[in-house]
Order: sequence, then structure tokens, then C-alpha cells
Amino acid sequence: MLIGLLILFLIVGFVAPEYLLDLLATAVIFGVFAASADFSYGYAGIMNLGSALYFGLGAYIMGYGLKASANPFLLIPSALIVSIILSLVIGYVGFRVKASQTHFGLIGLAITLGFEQLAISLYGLTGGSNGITNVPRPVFSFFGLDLDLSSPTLYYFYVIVVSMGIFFILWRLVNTDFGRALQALRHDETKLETMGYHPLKVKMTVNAITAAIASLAGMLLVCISGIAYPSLFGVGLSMSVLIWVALGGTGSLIGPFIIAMILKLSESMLSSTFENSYTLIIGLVFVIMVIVAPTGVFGIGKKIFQYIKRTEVEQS
Amino acid sequence: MGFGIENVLNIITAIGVLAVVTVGLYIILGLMQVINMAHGDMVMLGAYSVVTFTKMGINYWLAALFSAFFVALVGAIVELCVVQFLYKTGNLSTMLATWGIGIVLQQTIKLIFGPQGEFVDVPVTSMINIMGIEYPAYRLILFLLCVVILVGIFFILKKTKAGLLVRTTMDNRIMAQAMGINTKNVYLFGFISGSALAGLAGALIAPITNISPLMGLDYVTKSFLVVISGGVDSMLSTIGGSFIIAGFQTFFNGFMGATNSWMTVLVIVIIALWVRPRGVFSKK
Repeated sequence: MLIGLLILFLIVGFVAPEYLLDLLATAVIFGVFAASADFSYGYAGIMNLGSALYFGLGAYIMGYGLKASANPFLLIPSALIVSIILSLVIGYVGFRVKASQTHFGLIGLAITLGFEQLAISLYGLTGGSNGITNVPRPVFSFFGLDLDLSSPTLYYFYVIVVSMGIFFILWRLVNTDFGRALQALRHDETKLETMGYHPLKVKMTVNAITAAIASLAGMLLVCISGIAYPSLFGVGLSMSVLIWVALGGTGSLIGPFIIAMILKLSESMLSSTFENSYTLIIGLVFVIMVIVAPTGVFGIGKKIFQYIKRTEVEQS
Repeated sequence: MGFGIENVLNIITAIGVLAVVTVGLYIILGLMQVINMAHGDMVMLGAYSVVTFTKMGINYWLAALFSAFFVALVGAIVELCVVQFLYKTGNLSTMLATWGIGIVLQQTIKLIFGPQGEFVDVPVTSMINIMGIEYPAYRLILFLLCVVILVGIFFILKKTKAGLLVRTTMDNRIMAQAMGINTKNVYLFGFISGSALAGLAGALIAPITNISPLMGLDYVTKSFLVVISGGVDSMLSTIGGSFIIAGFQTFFNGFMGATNSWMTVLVIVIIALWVRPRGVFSKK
């Protein structure tokens, strides 16, 4: 399925017009972001209400660095390191209360809000509420060899390759021993402890991985939109990510990825026509979906499919 | 900006208001383990309904009371239509569903009143002289009202039959069910009273704050911070948490900008949680 998706993306890359490629690349980036949140919540059971923190951090660092024409080869690792260090500090404070979901999530929520305000008020560094505008696309220079990604098509392929790479790593990761330890963590923390794992360390590792991916997604996004603005840190984005995870079905990685892509694409197409009521409708649909389909859209699809199959068997 | 008796009065008013909002949240969180992301929007709804009622020519104090009832009604509808079905499915879905409800409330208000702010006239315009400083009387009345409300809830929880039912269900739901308590009704009652408290707080702060559709977010984050920094052991620990959050924030506001004081409060909360992970005022 993953290879099929990859081939589809590559074919689209050759035929679609450039503005559409930017839209699609944006959708793929948010898809990866959703998959990272699913890795954290669906597998390890860690609910992070502040995942946009790292997304925004990546976007802002990348935007600031590219405008200062820094080398992306230095910029990307430094942004990753900043995000990981921050995630470890927050993780250490938030995970100390054993088996308390809400603690960590709410600390993340508060810190995201703090960073959003910080991004608005530190005018000189972040451009205030306008954000960092006109961010150029990156040029990777490697020992005199320049890889210029300023054309949308090339950048699209770059996004696809990086995103699919991340997705593949996540997919492999959940099927290793570590991935199984995560599922054990979600079910019973004490049992995991008896098997010789240190729950706090496992949680902090997961959080660091999620933070790194989120910040990488932010870095990818800022070059397409060309702007890093305060609400990238916002609670709204953090919650949207969780909504994608819930709708896509937890613990599947691909479900949230696809849902995030669909919703992002539809948002960019529909929200201009129904400007005022779009958010209202999404909110309503969402509340209904949570009640009707707690296992996500694909979960309910599966149920319907099974039901049809069963009736067919009964008829024959 | 110097630090005088005026700042102290501002601090205690802020603490009082935040404590009322948070106690409402504490009842919902402690009783049903529901992370109610729509709690801040209930505050917003309270403020907007007081705007509507006073525009209709109703006396402010009566309007505040009506607003509390109205928000309680909205809370009841939300509990019966949405939250009720989600107790079994766990944290994420209740949280996301209440967030969705919050979005719906915000957008509805935005469609009705428009995105710009509204305001309500201060019902008591006189000034009171306290130790040589002229201070608006309404803020003092607000603080006293908050104290009265908090004391009232404390007594309801500790001394009455209804409070006993709530506390029993909070401690052990299955046991309470086994004893013949209808926990469903207790949950409904808890959600309604939590919402009513948020609505009342929103109505009371309406004259001294900017009323906008997105004002709820500020309150919901602050009150969650209160709950985690103070601890969820009892109502008193949430009031203690309000002292930490609102107290420090208003205190630092006297010296620096709003953003810096908020960041300072966050750092204080993180240090506090580093030392006492279960909350500053918890028993463990």
C-alpha cells in the first residue's frame, strides 16, 4: 500500500500543474504530522495537546535561518536538536506522575499557548503577528555542489521523498521490539516495568521522536507557504492533529495520514466558498463523528464492509 | 509602575474569578474524568448572554443570574446529547468532542454577534476609598461575590446530601453504583453545576473584560494549569492553584508585559511540578 501511494504521488508529480503540487505537498506534510501524533497516541497512548509547539518551532527556526541565508544542512539538525531538547524537558516534567494522561497533555497545551504569545511579542525576531514572511525555498549546497529546490516541482519531490522516508521509518519502528514495548506501555505501565523497561525513559523517547518529526514537518511546510506565523504554535493546530488521529483511527498510522490529507485539501478548496460557516460545519461533523464512529472513519467503513459480506454469505 | 495596595486588590480579584471558573472545571474533571475543553467557552457564553440580557433592559444582577441559568441549560444539553455517550470510550474522545462543542459555540456566537468585541456597562460605578487609594467598587463586590460563591460550594460539597453523593461518586464510581446511587444523574448534575459556575463567572467578569468569541481559550488553559499545578485532591487545592496562577500572573503584570508574565508563570509551574509532580497542594 505504501509503495502504491509512493508511485501515485510520483506520477501526480509529473502531470499535475505547479499550484496543485504545492497544495498536495502541504497536505502530505500535515499527513506526516498526523502520523507522528498517531505514533504517540495510538501506539504509546501518550496524548499530546501541544504537538504544534514543535511544528511551529521547526517552521520558525527554518524560516528565520533561510531568510538569513544559512545552510539548510546546518539548519535542519539544529532545529531538530532544539525541538528534542525542549521535548525532553517537557517530557521529564510531565511524565513524572505515573499513569496520568492529563498531566503531560495539559502542560504541553499551556506551553504552546505561551510560545504563541511569545512569537507575537518578540517582534524583532519573529515579525510579531505577521510572522516571518517571504521565506525562500532552500538551496542545499554540498561541497560546492548546489541542489536548488526553488521550483515547486522539485520541492514537491523533495517533500514526497522526505515524508515517505519518515513514514517508512515510523512503520518499521512500530513493528520492532520497541514498538511492541510502546503498546505494552499503553495497556499496562506496571507490566512494562516488570519486563525491564523504564516507562519514563520510553515515554520521553516517544515524545522526542514525535517532536523531531513534527518539527521536520514544520520545516518542510514553511518553504511552501513562505510564511511562519504565530498560530502555527496554536492550540487549534494541536487539536486538529488529534482530530485527524481520532477520525483516521488510532494505531494505524496510514488512517490519520490519509484523513489529514483529505481534510487539508478540502479545507483549501472549500473554506474560501463557505468562509464563515466552514469551521462551524467541521466542528459539528466532528462532534457527531466522535459519538457515532469512535473507531474512526475507516473503522466504520470496515464494519459496514463486514456487514455487507455477512449478509451476502447468509443469502447464498 | 509602582507596587501598591491597588495591585494587591487586582491580584485578589483575579484569584477570586479564576478560582470560581476552576472549581467548575474541578467538579467536572474530578467527578467524571472528562477534560472539558468547552469550559472556557461556557465562560464566554455567560459573558455574551449577560450582554444580550442587559441589552433587553434587564437589571445587570438579574441578568447575571439568568445567564448562569442559561449556561446551565446549555451544559445540560451538551451532557445529554454528547458527553453522556462518551464516558466509556475514554479521555481522547471526550476531550475532542468537547473541543468540537467549543468550536461550534464559538462559531455560532461569531455568526450572531460578529468577530468584534462587545462590552457591558459596569453596574456599580462608584469608587471606594481603601487606605488612601480610590478603587472601583465593582471589583471589590466581584471579589466578595466570588468568596461567597466558593464558600457556598464548599459547604454544599461538605455538608449537604447532594454534596455527599457527588463526593462518593468522585471517589469510587462503581462502589457508588453498587450502593444504589444513580451515578448518571450525579454526572448530569455535576456537568450542569460546573457549566453554571463557568457561566456565572463569565457574567460577573463581563463588565471588566474584553468580550470576544475567542476569550474562552484563555480561561480554559489557565484553569487547567491551576488544576495541574494545585492538584486535584480537593476543592481547596484548586483554590490554592488559583493563587499560584492568577496571583503570580497579575503580580508580574505590574512589572512586565503580559507575555513575559505568562512565560514566567509557566516557568514557575514547571519548577513547581518538578518538585511536587502531583501538584503543590496535594497530600502526597
